[in-house]
Amino acid sequence: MPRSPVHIVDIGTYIPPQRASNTELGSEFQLDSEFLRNKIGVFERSIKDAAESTSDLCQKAFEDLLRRRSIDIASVQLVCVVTQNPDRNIPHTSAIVHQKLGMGKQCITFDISQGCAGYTHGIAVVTALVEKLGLERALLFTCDPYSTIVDRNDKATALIFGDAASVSYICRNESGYELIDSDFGTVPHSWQCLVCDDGRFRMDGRQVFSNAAREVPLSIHRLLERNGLNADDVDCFLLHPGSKYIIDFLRQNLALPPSKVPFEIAHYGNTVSSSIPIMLQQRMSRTEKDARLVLSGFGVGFSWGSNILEFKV
Amino acid sequence: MVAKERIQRLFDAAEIQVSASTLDESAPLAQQGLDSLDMANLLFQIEQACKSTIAPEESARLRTLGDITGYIERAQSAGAWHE
Repeated sequence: MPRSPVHIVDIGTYIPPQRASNTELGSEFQLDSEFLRNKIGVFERSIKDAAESTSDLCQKAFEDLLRRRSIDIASVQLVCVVTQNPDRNIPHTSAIVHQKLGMGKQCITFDISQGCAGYTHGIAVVTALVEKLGLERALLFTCDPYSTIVDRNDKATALIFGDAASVSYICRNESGYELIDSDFGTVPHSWQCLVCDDGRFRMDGRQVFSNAAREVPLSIHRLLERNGLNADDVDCFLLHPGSKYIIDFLRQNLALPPSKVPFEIAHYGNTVSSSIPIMLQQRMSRTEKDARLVLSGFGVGFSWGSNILEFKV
Repeated sequence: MVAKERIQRLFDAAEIQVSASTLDESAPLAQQGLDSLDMANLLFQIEQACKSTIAPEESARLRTLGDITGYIERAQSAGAWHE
């Protein structure tokens, strides 16, 4: 008997309550309020407690998920953490999360090293594994607390990133979003545009913009065309909010109205792999669900990933 | 010679709210009202017109209108300008 399809049925999130204001820091960099408002689009950034680890933030996202629904933790068969800021090099952070959540022995744990395209990769990898191995329940975490690696004095990065975590509950037999198709890629000879050496993050903003401006519209067009769709068939495009400037650029390039391309990070910042699931969680909480979504994440690598999701009862 | 209109079209495509004709050819654009995102978009528009990518070390040298004009002239001479 065929098994029922795999769905993303709920999402828990955690955005640390502490905020760092961009107003003062922007002045130090001689950036005016118009630049902060219209180009960066971030007024304050969420900052985790210095003692909190990636697995701690994941645990808090899971506590949020538990407030939304009951989950038998012993029945979860797969835990994946998308992060490039793990608790430690060894072991994988998902093994630490597994312990903190008190999970059972029959559970696959692995991490995915990806950046701002991490959630789009994670959905595809976890969904494929759940389907191929005949699993029933999985948890996909995202967490990349950049406050630990961003240099406060680096004008190119200090005003953008915030800390957060998310967890997506992926299972069968419940209403939720089903992955229909994906498009992934990596630009050759481009990895140096975003690097972290000796604990210090650096970004070549010009290269990141150029790669995103060129590749993301192509990826979305490819995905839509392959599935016989056009932009009117999609209710909402959840594009990674790297900055307001890149979102405005992509929206115009794709000829989409502002209502279809949310930018909601003004009060917590670009949370890397958590940015898309935070936006998706907002929409999943609504009574009226969007029937079809396109997600697109892009960044470190330079890599991108785009997904089509459809809500299925 | 690169026409001012061609430069202005690149500015318009990048939505830069500065008239190219008013700029000092030899002064850094960063000192004449263009911010880092304007510069990123301007160089992207040039890449689109050339159908090629500008290497990081090359982009670091494109700081003035004169630098950009020179780059476009070289691209035109090489038959790599497709605007």
